[in-house]
Amino acid sequence: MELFFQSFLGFIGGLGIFLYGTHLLSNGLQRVAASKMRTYLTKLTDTRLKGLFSGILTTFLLQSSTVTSILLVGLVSSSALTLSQAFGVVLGSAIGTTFTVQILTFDISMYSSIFIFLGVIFIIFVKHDKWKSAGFILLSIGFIFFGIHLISSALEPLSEQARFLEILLSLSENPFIFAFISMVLTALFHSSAAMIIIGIAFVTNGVLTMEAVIPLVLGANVGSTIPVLISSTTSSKEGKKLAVFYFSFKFIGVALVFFGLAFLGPLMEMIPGNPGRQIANFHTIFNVWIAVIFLPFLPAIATLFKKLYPPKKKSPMFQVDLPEHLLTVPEEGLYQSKQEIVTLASLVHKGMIRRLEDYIDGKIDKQKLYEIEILIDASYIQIQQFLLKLAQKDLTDEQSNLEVKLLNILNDIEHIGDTVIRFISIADKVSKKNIILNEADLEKVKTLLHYIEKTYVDSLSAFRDDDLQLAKDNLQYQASIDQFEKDVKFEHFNSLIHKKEHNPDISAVYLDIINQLLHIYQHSMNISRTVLGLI
Amino acid sequence: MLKRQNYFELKSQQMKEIILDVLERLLQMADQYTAHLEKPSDKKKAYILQVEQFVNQSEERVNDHILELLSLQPVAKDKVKELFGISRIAGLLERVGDQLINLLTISDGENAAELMPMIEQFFHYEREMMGWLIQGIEKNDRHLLELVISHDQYVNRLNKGTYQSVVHSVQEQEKITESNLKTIIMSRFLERLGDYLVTIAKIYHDFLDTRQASDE
Repeated sequence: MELFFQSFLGFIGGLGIFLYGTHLLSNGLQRVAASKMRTYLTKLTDTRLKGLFSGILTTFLLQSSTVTSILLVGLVSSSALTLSQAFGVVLGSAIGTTFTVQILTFDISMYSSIFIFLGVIFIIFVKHDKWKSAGFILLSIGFIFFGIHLISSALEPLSEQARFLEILLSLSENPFIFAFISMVLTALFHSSAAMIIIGIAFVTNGVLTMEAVIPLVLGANVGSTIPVLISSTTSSKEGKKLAVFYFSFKFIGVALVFFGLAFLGPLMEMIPGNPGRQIANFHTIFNVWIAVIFLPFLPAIATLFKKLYPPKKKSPMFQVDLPEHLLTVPEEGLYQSKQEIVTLASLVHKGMIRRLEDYIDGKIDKQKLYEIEILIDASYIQIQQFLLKLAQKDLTDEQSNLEVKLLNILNDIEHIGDTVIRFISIADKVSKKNIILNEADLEKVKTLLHYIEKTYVDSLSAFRDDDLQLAKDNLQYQASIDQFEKDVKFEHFNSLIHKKEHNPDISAVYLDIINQLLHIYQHSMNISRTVLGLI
Repeated sequence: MLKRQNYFELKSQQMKEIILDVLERLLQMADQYTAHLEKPSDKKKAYILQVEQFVNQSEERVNDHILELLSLQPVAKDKVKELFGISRIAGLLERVGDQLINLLTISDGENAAELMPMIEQFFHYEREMMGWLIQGIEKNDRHLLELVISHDQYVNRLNKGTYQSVVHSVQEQEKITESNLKTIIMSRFLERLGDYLVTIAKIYHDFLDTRQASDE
């Protein structure tokens, strides 16, 4: 019993270190490669087959099919990829995860201490961010192999424990239950590799035969899709489609293999390599096989999914779409936040700034502007909350810089909304007090409005396209607007004197209107400043 | 905690890098010049002229950066002073390059061997001064900048000494030779070169003082 307990402790310790290592590795690789992989997926996935290869590469490099699927959801939602292409990437992603197991099957556990040592040296003694990231990757590789070594060592003495063998054999005699347990544990660990490595350790220590471990591998394949399926419940429609497809193709593939399970034993003998390698090869062959089966039918499957998940009628009003699971991939979280801010900023342009001239001319009702302002305030809170949560994650310097920019720009957009409302309340005073502004003054207000709209649109374009030159041009034009402001005020005073007018209300209201418009202008300029990095 | 990259700081850093790069190249230019005096070659001469062109272009690059920064946002008085100072440093570096070209033009003849000992004496100090200037600017080290400033006296002394020895030689020979004239002119160029390095050190030292005062 004591031996069993010791082995159990060694086993869970090893499993913990292994899982922590895979988590650390995926995070480390994500920091280094997520944005590159996003660009790569967008540019090189124009066919299903290319999608398949992109999926293999992306998942292998990021060491996480979950991260790949989060990147995919964003790409499909923004129409950068079609659903059929994205399904191709999902099939490739399933193959990509098997390469991890292939690498883990190499017997290099004895070198794990070297990886850990080098990783720690880089993390503690090197200041440069990139070397630190490399240090985390080395440390995580070390942990993974050290974990495998502990799992394997813990299971070794159990192979001589009759009672343990008896329990495990009776479980393996019912492949469905065995696969089910494997599926549940994989879903809990969030790692099919962990389960398959345990299976390999069973075989190499003589606890189970190779045939007995096949259901465990199959269960792990389905289990790896469960966390994605669960997190998709709070995701967009595209996220749901991808998650259901991921689960379905794995489940159908596993079900098909279960039908021919009796014939698999002799076939397994034909797979080359030692028992550990044979299991890893089976895992790869299985995933390649289901990819080959599904690949020709992807357009039809995509059509079916579109029917199963018909597009919702788009709400006429803007709604923030930043699901919580995006927080797990900061790169994607920041990208999606930027898209939301751009959409919100466009709404401010079309719904508020562009309408101000019509409002001055009495062509639209102020109620419409108030409705937009309420929407802006609500969206501002949602996006800011998401960004603040994201800021609490481990961001790279580059990500942190973008986060600061997004928070600043979001704040400026919200202020523009507030200023437009203040402008309206001042304009209301004009009508309540029966103040009539002269034609010349009104023209000046409209000219200023055009300047402001141009500045805002240019700032927004600079932000959307990361166009530093446009932001600079915008800022360098500032002096002209400053002079225009002075000219407007000077001409206004002269006009009052010329007309022998001395009602202070006219002047106060007119100057108030000008000042509010200039506030909008200043916030627009702030957007350009922030884009450039004057923060 | 969030981190941000400020465009103003980024540009300031880029200008500092340009200045350090120019100083390094001027040092190489000086080495190539003495190597050329010892063993003249078109390759060395071409290299010196190429570096001079690079130094001139660098001055323009620095001024472009300054112009851009001033046009983007209102800048605090201390910062404006600093930007003007950087522009002056870039201008002074360009003049150091000009002086080296002047030296090359005058000494590019048959009596280079006669001039070599005097040039080496000046360069002994001025190379050291350039080295301290590079380190001082790179590490914001006041002490190294002060070393540059204090070594001006040795360069001035050399200039005076050269002048006196030429006067003595003219008195002895009772005539002014071309070599005497060249020595006087070159000594003056070399002394000015030192003056420029000292002025750069003083400007940068002043930056550090201003920054420290504003931090406090």
